[in-house]
Amino acid sequence: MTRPDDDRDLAAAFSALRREEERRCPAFSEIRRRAPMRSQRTEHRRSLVAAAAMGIVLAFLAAWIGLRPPRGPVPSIAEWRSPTGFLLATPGREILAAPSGLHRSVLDVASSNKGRSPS
Amino acid sequence: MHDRRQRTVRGRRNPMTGEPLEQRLEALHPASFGWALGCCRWDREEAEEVLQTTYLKILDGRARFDERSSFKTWLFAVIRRTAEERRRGRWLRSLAALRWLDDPVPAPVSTPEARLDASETSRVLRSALQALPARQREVLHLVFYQDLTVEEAARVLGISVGSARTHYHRGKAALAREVRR
Repeated sequence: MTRPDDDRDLAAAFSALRREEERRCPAFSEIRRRAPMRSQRTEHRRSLVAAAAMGIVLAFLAAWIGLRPPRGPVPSIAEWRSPTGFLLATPGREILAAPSGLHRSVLDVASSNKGRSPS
Repeated sequence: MHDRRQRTVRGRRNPMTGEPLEQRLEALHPASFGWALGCCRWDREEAEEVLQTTYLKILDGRARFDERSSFKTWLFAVIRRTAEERRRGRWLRSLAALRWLDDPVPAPVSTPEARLDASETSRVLRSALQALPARQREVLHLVFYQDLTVEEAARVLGISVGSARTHYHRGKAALAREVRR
């Protein structure tokens, strides 16, 4: 892409900045020489921290497993009751549980059905 | 073991030109330093750190040149990514408890010689650039300072050409306003 003529001032200012920064640019060899030493030191420290963090996590995990209360005996399936079973005991269910006799009151049937389980 | 690694690194060649990778990096070193400075808002120490990490990434093979663009464009993209990674990780390093994780990084020192060196034009341009949004600053830096085309700048920044062009025009207008201020 070509730049319009009025950009020349801007280009000149940027090239002055470039010249100035290039003058103060550190040597390539200096940057290269520092790189591996620094990286190895940092990597070593980071791996130490990672190992320490892993150790702490493992210690917490072991403590959690060790402190967990033991489970009781597993109840039989026959004893199991649905936690929502009570919802089946609708009001007036006992009235409809048995048909009333010809000479019996509905209320008598209700009292005789008392104590029956909803299921 | 370290020597062997160093020898391997020195012997690694650019698949496109056959030229040793280290020589290619050295040839582009002044331009790379200028770009690193721009990416680090002219924090010299930070720019040197970014360049070190970038060279290490490339020479260790962690960043590979896939020949989809020019070597310079690719190198600049790696420098920019590295600077971004360092910026993102800075909050971690700033935590006092984790400070010892990294080497102590001295604050950038502005020596009297450096202050004298900095011409008035450069100083004004630098402070005007720092006032611009990052994308505009980066596009202008790549086009005017590094002599890249807007298309190449878009590739370095990983954005569309249209978007780069918009940043370029808006950046120029904003820069002119900042310089006049």
